[in-house]
Amino acid sequence: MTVLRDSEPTLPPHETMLLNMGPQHPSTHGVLRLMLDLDGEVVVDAHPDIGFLHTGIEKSCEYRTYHQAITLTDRIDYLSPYSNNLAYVNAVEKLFGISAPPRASWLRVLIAELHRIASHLVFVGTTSLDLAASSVFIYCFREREELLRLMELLSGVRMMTSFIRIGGLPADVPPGFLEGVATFIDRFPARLAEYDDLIRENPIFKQRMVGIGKISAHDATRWSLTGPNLRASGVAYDVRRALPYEVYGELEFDVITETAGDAYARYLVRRRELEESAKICRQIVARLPSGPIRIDDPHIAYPKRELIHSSMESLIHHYKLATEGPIPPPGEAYAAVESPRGEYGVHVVSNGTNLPQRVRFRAPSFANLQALPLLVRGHMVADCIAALASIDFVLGEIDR
Amino acid sequence: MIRVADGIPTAVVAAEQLLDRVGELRADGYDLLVDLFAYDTPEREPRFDVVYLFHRLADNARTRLKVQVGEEVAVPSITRLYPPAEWYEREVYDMYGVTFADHPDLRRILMPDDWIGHPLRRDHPLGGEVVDYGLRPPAERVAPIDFPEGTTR
Repeated sequence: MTVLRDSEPTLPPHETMLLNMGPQHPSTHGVLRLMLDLDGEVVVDAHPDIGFLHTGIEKSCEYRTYHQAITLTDRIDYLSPYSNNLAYVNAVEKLFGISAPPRASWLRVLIAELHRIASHLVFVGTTSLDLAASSVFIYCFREREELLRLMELLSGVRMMTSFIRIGGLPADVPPGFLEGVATFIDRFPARLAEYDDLIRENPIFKQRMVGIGKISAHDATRWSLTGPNLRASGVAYDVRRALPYEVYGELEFDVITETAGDAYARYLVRRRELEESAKICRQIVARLPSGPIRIDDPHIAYPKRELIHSSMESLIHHYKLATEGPIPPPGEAYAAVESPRGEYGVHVVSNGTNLPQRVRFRAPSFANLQALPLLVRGHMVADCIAALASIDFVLGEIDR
Repeated sequence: MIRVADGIPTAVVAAEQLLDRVGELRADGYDLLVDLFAYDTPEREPRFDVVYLFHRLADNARTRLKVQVGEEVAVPSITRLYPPAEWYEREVYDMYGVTFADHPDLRRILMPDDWIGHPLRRDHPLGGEVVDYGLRPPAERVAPIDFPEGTTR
């Protein structure tokens, strides 16, 4: 975050104007300051300035037990909090050398995919909103609302669910949840057709998106983009397929790619991923195995709620885990998941105490936003908005 | 060396050999710089680990490099081989005060430019600093925080 005058980028020798966009610009989806070097209305260069949302989550994690830190991870990428939860818990589980029981693993994937749908819906809605197609936004948030209601049914919380524990889940899904998911998935294709009617082939929408913010496959890999931004340039890299975690290896889904690498291709990738996520959810609802939802290890996972009321040992274990927390052996582990924005990774370093020595969040938006100057050079200022929106970044995870 | 629990091959390299090793990885087809970060072990000498994680798209192989340095040693910047390292190295500098030689634009990225200290160091206080918004008369203002010796700006 830049506050002092003397570190502003110096102007190039030819006559350009420095335009300050943000940090309070509605299209920046958070608090991003963008300094644009303009030649007339053409963008010569862009300098993103980040850090306005830095809240020190990584530092805070070092002062929380491994269980307490789960709720902090929700706040990083607030549009798809479950990916954050999942990556963090997977990293800690690697430190312990454990993995969640099958039913928990399937449910984790189900919730993660529901959050992916919710996040991509926000993308489709806000991108259209940035391009002044405000009705799409209302439609997308209608479906997202249904998902948030499902989340509330599941965990009591609409957005920051934290419905995960080291070694499994806090509880089994409540009655009516799976039926609710099935109803949502059944209705979803018709809803998708509605958005398509509104924008997919809409000439104004396409005029604003096609050919804007182009990035080649070579540049996209060179700048280490991940997620839909990389796949829109034709590189079929998806963590769910490349390095499968949880039960993704057993599920059937396509890795969506486009070749154009422009803003419209990035929109199409996310739009088509909505269908893939729905497909995954449908498989899970049909094939969900029964069984325990947490591993049975009193030093790592909480005992069953009913046992706390009837067994002295369980009460003691619960007390120890809630106050002191689980203690992993010294070591370090990295776990990655495919968040809606790309590879979201968590690296945890344990020094053998109940508090982590370091928790590092590898946020996909951080790398994706860094390539922004490549996307906007040579475009008009108004096209910056479309290019920015098509990256689908979340400042919460860039600044952490 | 610390136990690596995720199965990613990890090598510790000296700072002066880093560029050669990263160049070898680049030539070996590792396309993506997945992550670059640091962590601090103040009771150890040298105290910082700078960690690099690379990914190869062809066969989804991963490899990790580590450089262990103190704050007096500048780590060679890998921005020429992997351009996205630019922001990552700025973040490491911002959070830990580890400097990078030949970095194109090494300045703070997340913290304000006038911040004192490097917040992710283990000896940097978590919080409790009273923020002075300049609203109270000077006599009542809180004394500046006493940072431990050796803390650099």
